[in-house]
Amino acid sequence: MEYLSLYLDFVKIKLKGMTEYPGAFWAESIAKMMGWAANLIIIYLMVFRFENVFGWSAYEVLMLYSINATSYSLAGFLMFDAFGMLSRHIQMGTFDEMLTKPMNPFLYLCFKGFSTGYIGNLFSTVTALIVCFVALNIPINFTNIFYLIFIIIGSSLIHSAMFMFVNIPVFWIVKADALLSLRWALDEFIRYPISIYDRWIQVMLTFVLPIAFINFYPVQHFLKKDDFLGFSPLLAHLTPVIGIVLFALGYIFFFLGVRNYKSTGS
Amino acid sequence: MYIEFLKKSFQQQFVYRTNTIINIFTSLIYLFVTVSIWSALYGGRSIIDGISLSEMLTYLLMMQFVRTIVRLPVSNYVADRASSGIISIDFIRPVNLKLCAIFDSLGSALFNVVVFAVPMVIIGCFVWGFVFPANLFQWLIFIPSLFMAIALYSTMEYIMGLTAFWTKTNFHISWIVGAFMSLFSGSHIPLWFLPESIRLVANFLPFKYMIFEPINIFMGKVSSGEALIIILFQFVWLVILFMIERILWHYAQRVVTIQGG
Repeated sequence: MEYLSLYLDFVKIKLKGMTEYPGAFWAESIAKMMGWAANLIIIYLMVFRFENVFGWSAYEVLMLYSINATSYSLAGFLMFDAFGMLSRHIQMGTFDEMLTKPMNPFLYLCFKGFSTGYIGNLFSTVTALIVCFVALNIPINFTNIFYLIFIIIGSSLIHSAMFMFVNIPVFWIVKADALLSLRWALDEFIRYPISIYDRWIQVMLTFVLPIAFINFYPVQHFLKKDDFLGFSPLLAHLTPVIGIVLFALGYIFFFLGVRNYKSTGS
Repeated sequence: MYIEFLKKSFQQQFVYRTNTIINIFTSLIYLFVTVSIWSALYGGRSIIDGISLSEMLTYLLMMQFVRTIVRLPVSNYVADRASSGIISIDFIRPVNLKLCAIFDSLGSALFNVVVFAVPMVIIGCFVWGFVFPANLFQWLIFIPSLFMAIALYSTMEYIMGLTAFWTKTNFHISWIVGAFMSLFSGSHIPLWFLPESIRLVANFLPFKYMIFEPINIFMGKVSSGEALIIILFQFVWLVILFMIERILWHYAQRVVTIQGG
């Protein structure tokens, strides 16, 4: 509870900073909104022209994409600046300062990293989600909304863990740009239903780098689909578990990094 | 002299070796995913809208190639200089800023073509088959249309860079233009497969002349008369963009504020 009010204070400061430059905030939000809207339209049009892909209709693929994009944006709110800036904090020596604060450095980093740059993203992706719900005649009732929130929290945790895993190596190698672009490449795989790939890729995206849990498995609960590639349909409900496990691993990884951390002395 | 800029930035690329390897790797993943989804979309059907799957895969490979050479990040070069104030030096230098920016970006683009786009087209030929142009005329008219596409795109990027004189960043305009590019240029979906209404809008915008139309000519999907009309339209758009650029440049010189020069 104490942490919650502290977090809200950090958020308040960020929001105040944002109102200082309202023009920049709106320009960024509108620009990002248009960028995401274009992505969403392209996915829809592509499948629409060909009617379906492996039994997935245009709106179903769109919903797959929107769940991924929504949870990515939520994770971005909390994590992108926190861990995206980590290498700069280490290079500039400001990370030393974080270790001296009277609180858990992991939480401090997350609190400080709250970013307002994702409001435009969220607006487009949540709109797309609502459009999909309506177009696919999925009833918008308490159970479904509750379940959707449940899934999105889980997949945001997976995205957050991804942010952490690609950025935390900076404790050892200082620059991790390459890993960051690999993360973007991975994201490409789950733009479409993973049924389109060869078996070994499906297995990899399920068990080795379990990003198929971000959207492919959980969305099937709403779509009443049965495209589990021969795996158990129970996978549809595992997203939050996978999210918590990966996030916990990221947390441990972070403290391994901190233990290994040697200040640059600047 | 501008060729020197090109050489310098070409050589610079050798410094970032891991960067290059990762870039190749991510582009391969991107290509793999795109090929997978288009094959899945065809789902066994041989021809859709008069386009066969192997023609579609040819389009994807050509698009990688055209995109690598056409999409020069000229606006970054200009915007960085405008917001950092280095631009003040450019005002007194006896060189053309626009040509510097273009040749600087062209150097790294050519590097990418050599180490990446060409090998990929060759690999693609063997893996998926590549439908080469049936006659010499397609080659002959493809090359000027590609050059026009480069000129068009880099002029547009240069205009985007110039807006940084007012906004201090080219980030927002890049996202917005990027949104239009991805929808109307054919860099994600070739215009063949877009709904009538969107194709109609695309006809009144310059974007499709930057990526889609050169490939369309290469693949022989337009008659020779139509191909010449495409080049004419590219020229008209180039003139329009060039005029916008001149007007912006005229005003940019007045608003330039050098911070802490």
